[in-house]
Amino acid sequence: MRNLMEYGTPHHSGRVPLLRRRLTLLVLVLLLFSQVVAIASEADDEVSREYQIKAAFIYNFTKFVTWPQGHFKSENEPIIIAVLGSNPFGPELADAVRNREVRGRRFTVKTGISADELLGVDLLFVPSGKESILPMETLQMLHMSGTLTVGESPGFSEKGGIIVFTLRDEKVRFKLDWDSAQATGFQFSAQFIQLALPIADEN
Amino acid sequence: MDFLYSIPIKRKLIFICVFTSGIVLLLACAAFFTYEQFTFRQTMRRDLETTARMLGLNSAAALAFDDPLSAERTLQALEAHPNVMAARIYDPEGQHFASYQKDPGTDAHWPSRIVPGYRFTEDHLELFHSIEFMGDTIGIIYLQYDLQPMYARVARYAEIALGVLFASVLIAFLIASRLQRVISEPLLQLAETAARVGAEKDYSLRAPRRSEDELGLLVDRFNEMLAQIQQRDANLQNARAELEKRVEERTADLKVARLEAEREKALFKFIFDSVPVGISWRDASKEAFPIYNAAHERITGVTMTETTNKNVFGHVTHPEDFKRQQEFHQQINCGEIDHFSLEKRYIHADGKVVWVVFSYHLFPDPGTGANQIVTTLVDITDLKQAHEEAVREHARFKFIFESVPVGISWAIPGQEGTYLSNPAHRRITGLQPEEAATPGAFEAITHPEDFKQETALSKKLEAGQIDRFSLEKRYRHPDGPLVWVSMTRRVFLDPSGFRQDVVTLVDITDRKRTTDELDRIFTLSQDMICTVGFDGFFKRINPAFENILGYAKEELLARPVIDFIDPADRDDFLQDQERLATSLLSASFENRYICRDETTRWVQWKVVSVESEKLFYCVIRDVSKQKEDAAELEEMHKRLIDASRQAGMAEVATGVLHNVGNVLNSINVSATVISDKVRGAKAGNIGRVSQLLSEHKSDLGNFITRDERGRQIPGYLSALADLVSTENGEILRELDQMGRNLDHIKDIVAMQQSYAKRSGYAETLSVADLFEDALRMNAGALARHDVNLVRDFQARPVVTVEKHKVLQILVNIIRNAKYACDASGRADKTITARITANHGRVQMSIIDNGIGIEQKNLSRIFNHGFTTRKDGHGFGLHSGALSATEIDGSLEAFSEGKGKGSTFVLDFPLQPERPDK
Repeated sequence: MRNLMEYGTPHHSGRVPLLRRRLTLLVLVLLLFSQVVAIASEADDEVSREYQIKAAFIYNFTKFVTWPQGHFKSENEPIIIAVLGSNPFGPELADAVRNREVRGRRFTVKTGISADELLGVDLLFVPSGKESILPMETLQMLHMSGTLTVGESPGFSEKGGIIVFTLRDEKVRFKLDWDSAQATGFQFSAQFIQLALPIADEN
Repeated sequence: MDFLYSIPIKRKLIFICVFTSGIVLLLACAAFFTYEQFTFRQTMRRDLETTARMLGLNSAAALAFDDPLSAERTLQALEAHPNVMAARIYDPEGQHFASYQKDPGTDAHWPSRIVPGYRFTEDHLELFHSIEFMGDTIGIIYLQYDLQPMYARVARYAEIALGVLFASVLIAFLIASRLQRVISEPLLQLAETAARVGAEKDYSLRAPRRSEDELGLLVDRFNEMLAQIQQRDANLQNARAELEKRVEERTADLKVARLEAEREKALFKFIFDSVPVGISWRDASKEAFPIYNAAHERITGVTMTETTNKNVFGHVTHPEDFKRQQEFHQQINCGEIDHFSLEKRYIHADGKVVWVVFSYHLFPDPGTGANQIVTTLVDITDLKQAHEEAVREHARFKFIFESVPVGISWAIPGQEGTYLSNPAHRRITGLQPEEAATPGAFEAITHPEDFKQETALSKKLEAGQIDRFSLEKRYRHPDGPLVWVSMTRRVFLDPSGFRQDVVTLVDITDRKRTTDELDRIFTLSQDMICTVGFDGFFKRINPAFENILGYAKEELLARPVIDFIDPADRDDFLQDQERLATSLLSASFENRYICRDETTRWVQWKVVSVESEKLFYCVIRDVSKQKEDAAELEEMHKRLIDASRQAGMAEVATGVLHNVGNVLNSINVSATVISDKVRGAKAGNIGRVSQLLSEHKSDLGNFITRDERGRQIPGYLSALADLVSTENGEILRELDQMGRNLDHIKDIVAMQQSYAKRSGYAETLSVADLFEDALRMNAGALARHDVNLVRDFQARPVVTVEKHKVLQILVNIIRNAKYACDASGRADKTITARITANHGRVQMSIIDNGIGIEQKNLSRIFNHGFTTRKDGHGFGLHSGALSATEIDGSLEAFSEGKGKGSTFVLDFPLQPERPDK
């Protein structure tokens, strides 16, 4: 593993101590409910695994996306990532971008924001179900103001979200509404476009 | 490179050129090839790195969004690259992400682990390259490059290089072959000229000169040298021809001389080596190299190798001889003599002594004039030994001759002065040698009775009819006594052929005398003296036999001894004879001889057995007279004993009766007194009183009171009582007196008894007979009571004992045994009478199976007055035990208890311990 550690990703390194902390806590405090908690923990893991990937994807999107000209006011203004409503990532998202830079910009993660606080966000993640609180017009407006929207439900796509996570063959994939993105001045790397599933593809 | 020195110069030059150019080319090729290889590898690596970086960039999105299919599509682009055989992308954790293989059918050699950087393996160049994107390491790409094409290229390069090398060497060879002639040809010609001069010895030849360089100079010098040699060779030829001529002349002369010398040398050597005389030869001036011949070596025992040791002959020379020889040498050294001889001894290493005649000669060599020393050794050991032997032999002979007690005279007949006699001869004959030589000397001293016989025998001897004779004869010494001799005269030829006349005389005077004495004793002896062979026949007997037994000598010799012995004694005699012949040395015994008049005679033999001669030497004495005398004496003795016994008994009886008679007188007086007293007693008056009282029985009261007689009775009785009392006292006194006298008689008898005991007459008789007597006395009683009698006489000794004592004891215990059997009431009443004897004592036992004796009573039965019988008085066993001690014996009782029978044993010696009393 020593050789591999040379290539180890820093954003993953926080996960194991967390898990251990949790398990230690459970062992110490909740001996009686150990079985119940173990099952819950497994379920938690499943959820966590999905959002861990999604957090990594969100970080990676910033690498392949070029915000519209003049979106950022200064050279090293941080990229603000916001999660609408309750945070399904837990600490994963913050972990994924901590101490990272993309094109010289660091990251700021805001979770649990309301619809009023959306302005000025560079990347907005709309958890499943939260799309309902965003009217299509608001979304349009966000795109226009250079906010890349990422959702995870088919409804979000219908409302005109740019990137939508989807599961295919139990793997996390994404769809790109390239037309609307282009219209609002976002540019994507060719490789990214190749990887994205077409928006119309329902499978 | 040593071989270069041995190949011709022509080839040497060619080789140097070709070898040098080949090496240079080879080095150039190697440098070029190494550089090419290095740059090719660099290029290849760079190419691979570029490809890896490009592929990494192209697969960044696929890695970022976990899309392996997309990554594999990207890797598919490698198909265009001819040498990349396999590629693989790993995610940052090192997990396999996407793969590519040029030839999917084969099994690619995937690396087992990830190691950054590149490395060359046997067939491949491998590269791990990390994929960086936007400052993150998002994965690792692995590329495998096939090195086969590179190796193919290397091979091609090598082929080309070899081709060029070969061509270059070939060209170099051709050029060198042409150019080397410039140097090699002049040298070869010079060598050829030198070879010809050597082979043909023609010093007029010259080498051709072709060049003006150092080789040209060399040829010039060579030619000059040849010219000089040519000149010198001519001079040498002349000198040698002259010399050869001279040598030939001398050789012929020498040959003749040498042959002569050789022959002489051989002759000398043969003599020197084979002569039995030891010879040594050396130059006096030089110590070294003397010569010794084989005989010298044999005689001295010093081998040739040992002669180098200085003074070796001094060491082997006998010390006594060494000094003498040294003296001679001194004289030689002083020049007083030039030769000497001596007898000396050599002592060999093994201790053997060799006598030699040693001769030393010093003389000048006729050739050189140098002094030569020749020594010769003649071995005279055998001679010496023979001489010593002869001397010893003579001494021995002389000693024997002088000291032997046999007289010997020795002469060679017909030669004057050869007569020899030894001291013994002179002593026996009493003649001195000079007297003996006078004729008739021996005749004068020979006893006339013997002379005739001797003369006859001597004549026969001198006539050669016999060569010896022996006889016994007497010499009469001039001073008187006769000497008996055993003479032997013998004539014989000694080894040297002389007739020798030897007379030996042995003085047998003493023997003669002894024999005569013995014969006389033998003849005169009153006892019979004889020798008896082991075959049982008389061998020699003396005249006493004839006198005593009445047989003629011939009769006695003709029959075995056993025939003359009384048949009753023959078995004993044969046994004695047998024992004497086998084991005994001497014996003496008696037996009876039957005389010619058929009377028998007791004789006593004394015999000594000499086994080596198979003879018994016997002296037999007639003891018949003694025997008769002894028998008579015994008879007389018996009679005397009887007489004395009767006399003794009469005397005893008289003594006792006399004593008893004396006492009886007193008793008689007492008895008379008592009878008188009793007769005159007043006791009769009591009868009258009694009668009166009886008459008046009816009126006794009146009678006593009224009748006068009656009234007198009480007074009368009173007076009578006094009288009777007085009489009784007197009678009692007399009775006391009488009792004392009776006691006296008892004492007399007792005294007589004790006297008899002391002088008790012991008889010699058979114990068995004694027992029988005792049994017979009880026989009636035993028969009446149905007692079975068993006799167990284990021994029948003869004892000397007081018969009546033994009888008294035996009768007593037999009676006791009978009572014991009777009291038991059993049917099988048995008494056993047993006799045993040992250690000079006899035991007479009476064993019954009656009532037995209780243990507590065993010790008491011999006490006076003890009895178990109602009518017993307890005296028998007591007196029996006393009697037993009086005969030095004991009486003991044994019983296992009541009802188990009892045994009484009377034990006493066969002979009384004090036979004198």
